[in-house]
Amino acid sequence: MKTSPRYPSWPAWPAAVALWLATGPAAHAHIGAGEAGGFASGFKHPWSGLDHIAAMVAVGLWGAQLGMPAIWLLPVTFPLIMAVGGFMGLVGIPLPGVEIGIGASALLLGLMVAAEVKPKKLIWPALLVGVFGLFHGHAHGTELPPGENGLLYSMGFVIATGTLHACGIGIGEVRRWTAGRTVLRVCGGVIALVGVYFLWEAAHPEAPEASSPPAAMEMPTPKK
Amino acid sequence: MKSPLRQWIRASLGLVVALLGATRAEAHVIASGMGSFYDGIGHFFLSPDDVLAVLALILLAGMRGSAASTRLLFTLPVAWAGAGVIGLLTTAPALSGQIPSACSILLLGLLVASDLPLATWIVMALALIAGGLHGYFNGQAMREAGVNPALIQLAGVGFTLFVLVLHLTDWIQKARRPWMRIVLRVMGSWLGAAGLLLLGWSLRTRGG
Repeated sequence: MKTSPRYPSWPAWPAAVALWLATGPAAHAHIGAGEAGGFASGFKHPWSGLDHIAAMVAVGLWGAQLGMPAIWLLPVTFPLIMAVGGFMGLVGIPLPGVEIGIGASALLLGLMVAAEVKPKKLIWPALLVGVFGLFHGHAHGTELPPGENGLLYSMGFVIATGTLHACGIGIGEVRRWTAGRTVLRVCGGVIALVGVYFLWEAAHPEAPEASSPPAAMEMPTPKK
Repeated sequence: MKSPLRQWIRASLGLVVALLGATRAEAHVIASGMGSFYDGIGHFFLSPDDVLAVLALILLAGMRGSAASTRLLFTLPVAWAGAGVIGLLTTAPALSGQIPSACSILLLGLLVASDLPLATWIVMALALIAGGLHGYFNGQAMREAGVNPALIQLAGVGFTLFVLVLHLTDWIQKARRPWMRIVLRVMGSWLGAAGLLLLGWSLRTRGG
């Protein structure tokens, strides 16, 4: 078989891209104080909440359980629809029940993994994952810090999401063993419990006194 | 021979460490002190919006086969440099290229992700439009920055594009395993998602 020693192997290219991003490439000049901190800031964002992590890992786990082509189709669907949600959040299009949707995503996706649900048509898992991606994206979109350069932030954000899916797919590879399948189902159960917790939190928001200490610490103005 | 898994793990670790260090942005038009030609090369690599659009075009052409790849090799640098000259010579006030950049990355990323069997002429038309847009805004940025001689910088950008297209399309066509095509499509979906987020970001910034 003919081989080509002239070109770097596959893993060399992600490393080259990483080097390019790490050495401070900047889309545009004019980055000011308080604006997005670039790739690292975007990369950290999806890791900032357990509800997001649980749902995204569950997508990977479910994809692994479903096998080809869901194993890559679901993780492709999620970031794309999540970006639609992010777009909506960024331009100010409201989406009701975002927090409930995020909690429900962890619960339902966890249950799918725990029950090892395998729909006959791939459209159903893709639809479910897509709908939940919309909620996650919207939450991130409304939270994104303002800035003139969103590209590095967006790339970091999307790659982090993909990394979480890849973690799920990696863990999901234990499905090859009988005991591994049980472990996967237990993981799904744990994710569903996390979803229940966040659903409960979304349905019972904390009292204002507890959630905003600075307001609680305000001293009343003495009446004269 | 090294295990592919080990290579992937090593590269992934490098990726994470390097990416976490990427925090700040610098100027778009640079002066390296090495001459205008090298400034042009630096200018391209310090513009992620340009790099990602070119990457998406390369993925698209590479996935469509050798005919599209060979034509992209000449179409893209010529369209880019030609539109760059127009951007340099025009006296119209400089426009922000962020929204067109976001749209091009979004569209090209989606086309890569969907792996549609596009005809070669469609890929070339996309290369002309995207390359022309990015090249025009490059030319404008050079004019605004008072780059002299800007034509040499544009030649540096064109040379960079030629080399990138030559090597990367060849590499993509050698990637014949099915899972490699999946990796390319996943990369396309990420590019599309980043383009859409950038578009939302640009609209929000413009709207105040």
